[in-house]
Amino acid sequence: MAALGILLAMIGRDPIGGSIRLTFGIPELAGGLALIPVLVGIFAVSELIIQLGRAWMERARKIVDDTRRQADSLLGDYDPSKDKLTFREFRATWRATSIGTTMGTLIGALPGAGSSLAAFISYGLAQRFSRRGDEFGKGSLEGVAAAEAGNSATSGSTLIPLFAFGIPGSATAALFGAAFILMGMTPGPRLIYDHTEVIYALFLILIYANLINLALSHFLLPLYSKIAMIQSRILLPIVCVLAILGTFAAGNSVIDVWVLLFAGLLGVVLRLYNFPLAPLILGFIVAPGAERALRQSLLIGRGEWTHLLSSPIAIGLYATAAIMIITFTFVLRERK
Amino acid sequence: MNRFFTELLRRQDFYTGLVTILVGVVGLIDIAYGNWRPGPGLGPHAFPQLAYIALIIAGLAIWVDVARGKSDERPDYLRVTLFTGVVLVAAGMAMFWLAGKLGLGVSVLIALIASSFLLTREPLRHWPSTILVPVLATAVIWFLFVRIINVPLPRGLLF
Repeated sequence: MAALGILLAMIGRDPIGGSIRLTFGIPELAGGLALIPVLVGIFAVSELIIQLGRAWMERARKIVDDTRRQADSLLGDYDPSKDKLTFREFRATWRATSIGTTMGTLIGALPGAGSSLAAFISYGLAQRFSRRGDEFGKGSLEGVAAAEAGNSATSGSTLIPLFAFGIPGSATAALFGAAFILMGMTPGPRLIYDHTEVIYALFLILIYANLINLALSHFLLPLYSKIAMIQSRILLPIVCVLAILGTFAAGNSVIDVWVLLFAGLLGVVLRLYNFPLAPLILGFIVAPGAERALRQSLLIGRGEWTHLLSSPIAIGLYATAAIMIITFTFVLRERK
Repeated sequence: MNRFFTELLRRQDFYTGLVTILVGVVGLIDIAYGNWRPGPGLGPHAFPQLAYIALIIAGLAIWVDVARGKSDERPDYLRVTLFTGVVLVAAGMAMFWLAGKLGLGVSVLIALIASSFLLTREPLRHWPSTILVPVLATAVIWFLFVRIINVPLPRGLLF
């Protein structure tokens, strides 16, 4: 998937020599594929297509009657607005929550690790340290708390590699990076020096947003659940229109709309065949900078590949990357 | 041996791997015989070449998994989903083209009402959600994009 993302990023002009490549004779692609249409297309439009397909099948095959009957029979008299976490239950899960938060923060700081890995590792550790470990997997609140805390804790720490190296740690961080690029600020080590006020404002926003969310969500949770109940046949067409118009508004180019729609088709095919989308986006974002850096390094080293090994910091980073790739490969295989 | 290959050909992931390898091979052939200009450093073909080689390796890795018996099932509702995608692409471009002829408001309204009618059984019976909601949504979108954000969208005859 990363290779596919790299190929999409190669469309347009060569960053060093300026020659045009992989445009298939379409002059409008000489500037390359814009980030916003690719991001919105791959993630949002692909999901819209899948949901629209389901909505159409529900309408055509009358599946909705059966699924609604099943859902009603399962729910019975259950009222989601009355199902709230008590303080006693919250206090009972503090250890699992702490474990999840810590592991999620650490794992989220590793580029590409993902919230799923953090959730699994947090769950496993919480089970090991819990007094009621045998209740895990049978509806234990501690298990839910550990996994969800691990999952959620990655969202802040994925910004660490983005601001430190300019490498987004996740698809969410990639969207952050895209927003910074659109505002004329390149994510990377210089961002903290060149735009210190923006970085500190972001820190404060993250702190305040979490506190405000905690306070408001207690009252707004029943409303949130109702928003999720809006029927897809009403919501999906509106979201489609907004995606198309928003993409055109971002770049004022019809080609962006084409890219959006075809990226959506590509995203659908990849999702249907169980390919992950985040590596594609990470490859798309990182590739231009990586190519530029590699070719500039080789130009400075006069074509000698050994020049890439001349810095001890570079060697350390290569070794770290190799260890992470091998470790995650074994962890993922064990999980399967 | 024949049975082994027949079993391979039945697996969904065999074709996934085949497509991946073919994309890589075609790309490498294009780099070798296509119209690629030379450039400073490695040249403009270097990174695409790396990506194509990575695709071929990924395709071979998928084939190895298939040979070991691991394969995903054929995706559910493949045809319907792909058909929906193609229709969405066509409808999206049609809406955009219409915006240049009739105006943003009219084209968005037509698109929303048409899609609501297509997705709702007995659409006239559910007129609040198939007609009223699209009208309100169009008004909000028009106000947002034309009045507040002031985006230079294609202007048509109407609004």
